[in-house]
Amino acid sequence: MTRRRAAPSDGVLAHHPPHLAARGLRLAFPGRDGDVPVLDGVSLEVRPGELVALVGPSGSGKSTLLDVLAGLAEPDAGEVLIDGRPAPGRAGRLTLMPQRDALLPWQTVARNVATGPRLAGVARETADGEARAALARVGLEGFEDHYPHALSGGMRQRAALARTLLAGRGAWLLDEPFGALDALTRAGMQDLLLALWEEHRPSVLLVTHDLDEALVLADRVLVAGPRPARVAGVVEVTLPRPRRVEVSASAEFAALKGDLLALVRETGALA
Amino acid sequence: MRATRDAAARAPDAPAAPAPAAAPARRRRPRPGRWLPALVLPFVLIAVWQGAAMVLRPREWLLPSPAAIAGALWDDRGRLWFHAQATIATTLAGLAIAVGAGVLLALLIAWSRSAERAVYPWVVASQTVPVLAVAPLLVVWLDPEPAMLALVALVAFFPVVVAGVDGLRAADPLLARTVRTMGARPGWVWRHVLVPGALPGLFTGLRMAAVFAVTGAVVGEYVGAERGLGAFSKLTTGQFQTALTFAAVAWLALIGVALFAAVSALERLALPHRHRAVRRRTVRERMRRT
Repeated sequence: MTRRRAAPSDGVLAHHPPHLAARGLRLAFPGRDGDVPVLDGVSLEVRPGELVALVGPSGSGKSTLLDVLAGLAEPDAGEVLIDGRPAPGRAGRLTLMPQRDALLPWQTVARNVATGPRLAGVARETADGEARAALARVGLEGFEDHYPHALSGGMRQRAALARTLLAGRGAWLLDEPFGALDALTRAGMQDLLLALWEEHRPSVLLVTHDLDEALVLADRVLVAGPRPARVAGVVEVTLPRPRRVEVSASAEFAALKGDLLALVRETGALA
Repeated sequence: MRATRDAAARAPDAPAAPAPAAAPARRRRPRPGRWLPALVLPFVLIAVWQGAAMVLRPREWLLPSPAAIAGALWDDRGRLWFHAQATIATTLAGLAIAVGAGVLLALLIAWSRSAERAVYPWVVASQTVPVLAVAPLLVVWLDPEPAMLALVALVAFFPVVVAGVDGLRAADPLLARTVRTMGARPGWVWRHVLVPGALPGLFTGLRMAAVFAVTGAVVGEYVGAERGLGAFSKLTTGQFQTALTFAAVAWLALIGVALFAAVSALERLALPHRHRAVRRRTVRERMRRT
């Protein structure tokens, strides 16, 4: 597919288009006093196998941006490219993992995790096997046949991560996935995400308002300005891979966090 | 999943079932005295009533004593059962129509805003129709049998529609959003997200509909039938056989309670997950646990 896409004219055959790209996305919601702009020309790229974080204050339109990227909402202007191509009707190609687990309460954990394969037409038995393997990978062996209500918040988020792993065709949109967890559980989940990312190398856009989380996980951190959202700056995270959460104790990390904070202050989010 | 269902089904005699999912089933194990509270009120009432009847001795056609009613229930059991059968048949058939129509209407109204605007007001308006006034007309227009079914359906479909619409509308948008990004088409979202999410609410409507249906059947029979507990009460009241009228009322109460219980049992089968157990907690239990 990529081979067919490569344009011989520019002579850069080795160049891969970004897995996910947004170009000048604009979106306004109708409000009482006229339209309220939410996205104000958002452009970003996630290269294949790259983990990009987008940080910004709450209510800065990040979730709306993810809806547009995921194909659940259409922008007023701008376009979303997948593998370098415009992707109308892209719902289903980028898997969303929200802050709340969003597991179906009336299905067992294994059946929830098998959602992606089952939607892709994989036979029930095979899908169930994949789900059980994924659950074992995230440390939920023995909970396959429980209903989500029987699990703690952290365990449910592990199950949601397993579901994303099976459903996401290499592209994940994570919407503050660990924002509702306590600090220790969150650190464990970050470690798990780092390990899964190393194993499968999905292209990930992670939305968060936790600067430490963004730096621990991401290759690049994009800073969104307050509403209306646009990408105001970038910090390249030069920390070595593979990482674990302990990386946040390094001097290099502290320096990067200084850069990131300076950038966030510039956008006015700290005012 | 199969394993969990089995565990839940086995739970009454297997308190050691390992899965927490089995816990609610264990809690619901029939304890001795589970039915006792339900018997306290009738026992007290009947005792007071019987005492009053023995002391004040009202005329039998005005207020028969509980003992007289019990006698009538037993002595005329054949006749009562003959009429009860008709009432049960009418109630069940009418209820089936009400549920079918109600669910279809709920799906339509929840699906489209214009359908809601076009249909919902008239669904509500239909409930202001004075059933007693229309019943004779229905009997004249239609045959008695279909008239009866129409009456039952008219009074029973409303709670199904309201509960169905609210259940479907109350669906957590996040669930639908998330599975959509995994490639779920709208049909899949309906089947696996919206409808299962609406079921608990829908069953609330069904329980109400089951009881309303009995009322509907009685009104229909009262107005235009030869057979059925409604017709029987009219006949016995006219003949001043009040004990028999009360016996018919006792039968109707039994039918209503049995139907209500049957719908609850159906709910237990349809929603085997913990979701339902959480829903059934009393307010006091809700304040104590998370």
